[in-house]
Amino acid sequence: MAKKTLIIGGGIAGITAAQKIAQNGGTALLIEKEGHLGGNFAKLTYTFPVLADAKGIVTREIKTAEELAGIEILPRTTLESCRGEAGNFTVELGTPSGRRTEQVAAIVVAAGFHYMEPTAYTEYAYGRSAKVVTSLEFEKMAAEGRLPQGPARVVFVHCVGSRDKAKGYRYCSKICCSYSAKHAIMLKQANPEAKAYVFYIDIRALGKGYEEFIREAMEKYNVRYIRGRVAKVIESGDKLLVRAEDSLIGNPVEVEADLVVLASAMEPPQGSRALAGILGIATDEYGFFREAEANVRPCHSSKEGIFLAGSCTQPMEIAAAVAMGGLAASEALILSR
Amino acid sequence: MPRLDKVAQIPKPEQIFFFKSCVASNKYPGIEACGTESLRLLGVEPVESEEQTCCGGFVTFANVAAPTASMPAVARNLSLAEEKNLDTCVVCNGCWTFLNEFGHFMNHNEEVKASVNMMLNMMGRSYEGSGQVFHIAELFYRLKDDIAKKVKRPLAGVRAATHYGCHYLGGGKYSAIDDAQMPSYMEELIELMGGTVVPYTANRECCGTGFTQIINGKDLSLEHTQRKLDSVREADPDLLIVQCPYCHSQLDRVQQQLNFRQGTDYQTPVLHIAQLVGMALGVPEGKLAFAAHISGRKRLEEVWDRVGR
Repeated sequence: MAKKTLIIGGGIAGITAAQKIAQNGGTALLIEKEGHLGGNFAKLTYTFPVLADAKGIVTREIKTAEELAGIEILPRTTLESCRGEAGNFTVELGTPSGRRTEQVAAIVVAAGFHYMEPTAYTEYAYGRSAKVVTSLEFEKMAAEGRLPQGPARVVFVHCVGSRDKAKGYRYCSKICCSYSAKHAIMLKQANPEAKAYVFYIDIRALGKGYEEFIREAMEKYNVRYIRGRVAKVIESGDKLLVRAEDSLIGNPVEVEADLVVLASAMEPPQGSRALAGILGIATDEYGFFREAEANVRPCHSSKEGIFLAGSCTQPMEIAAAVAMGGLAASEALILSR
Repeated sequence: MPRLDKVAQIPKPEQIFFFKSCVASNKYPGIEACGTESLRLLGVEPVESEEQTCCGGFVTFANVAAPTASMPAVARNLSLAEEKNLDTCVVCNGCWTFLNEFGHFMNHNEEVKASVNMMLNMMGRSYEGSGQVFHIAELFYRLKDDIAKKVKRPLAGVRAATHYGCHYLGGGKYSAIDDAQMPSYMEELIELMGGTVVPYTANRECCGTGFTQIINGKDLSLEHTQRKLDSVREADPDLLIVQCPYCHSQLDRVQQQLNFRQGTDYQTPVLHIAQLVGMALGVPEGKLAFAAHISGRKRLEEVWDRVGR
């Protein structure tokens, strides 16, 4: 019988890796620190650039994984220690029923990402005004049917924590342009009376379907795109005033808003450096797991036998995380024969 | 929330080098009179120097002098404090930012520091970068427990709005003792002296001075100040408390100009935080030098009647 592969993280990258290992004759041990699988994907209502039912897709993928004979799923479980080398690791797992020791041939790290809490951005009144929310909170509001009613104005702010040398991360979080367009479309679909404004630095919607998706937001749903970084969000009575510069005409603009949605940065998963310490693998300056070679070995960590998958390596969209999960699975299978 | 880690780092000195400000000295003498008097009442002896010059900020930002020319002025002024082995206290956001930023720049660029010192050596001086520069409002916040104990004229029934000023908000990257985007220490000081804080929408807006805009682009400057004043008037405080003499001068004097040009009736007295603390600590009325204030004099008299002269 083939040796086991330990997969850390039950988001879409980890689920895909487990499925592919099991479907190719291997055995996967999938651990998830939360009580259920799905990760960040499971918190979404719709996917992009095709507006498909996110909950339906992720539920289907979880069900497939649960039904495959070669996968054992351990929720509320974390990795506590790791010894050994490629082909023969001894790992200790902290499970709800106590400590458990396992022998595995390979390890796939698919620890996902964390949405930054924009608490440092006090100029945007986050944490002070209940009408300033993050994109993740907006997803929750949409799922629970709590989007603003009537002729409300909603402002979406790009690059909160991304591309910001002063207070945030220098990198681009890659998916925010697309999901902000998705949110604006969701708003207009749920409430055609609402007005949506998006403040952007530039639009990064690379690849097939993405540019079209943004165009659709602008042209079909009349979302107003304004090029400029928001300077401040000011509380004024029961409204918010969003101050920014329209850098295409060079004038200051002010939008009165009922809700402000901050597209906060994708950051490394919480505890990524501690996990890297347990595994003995390298992280980058931000805390993302570092790949051995960026172009042709994106899923190799700095240590042989430990592979990386998904957004714990860098900000990426679902399709890329799925592809990386598959690649990590095939690398792991080589060691578990 | 003020950054308590930074506040705790501010020493409670016996003496401090009191840095005079050109605008405060010339336009509102009450700021420095109250600053020195209040510090004395709080147990800190202000030490002044006849040799101190302007911080150099205005001439630099107005493009009258190059930064390379005003850097030695900063170093020279700071060396006056250093030779007395004292930290520096300023009453102006301009002095605060300028001394702090250029000090920081010299302290982190050995070559610049060396070339500045070459010039200072010709005057028989040298700059080490050993002292710190605090805004008087920060020192007051550090001494807030002492202030609370020594209030002679509680500000009961006085409604005060605050204005921190861009050069504290924007210049505070390294030095601010508070969240520079949303500071709150002046509000805390007002409340502990017995006053009531009045929020208003344009709290964090610029006063309109815009360094040289009031000279070079007066219409823009007045338009901006008017927006600020409209928001202040909506909240209708008894006093508008500033911590920068430039903001003070703009917000006080432009009220009169707008009233004259446009027939408006802006009447909000503007006070520097040092004057407000002085008022509460019982500094004699004459030292507050309210004769130099232009707008809202009637309302100021009413405040005096309420707190007792």
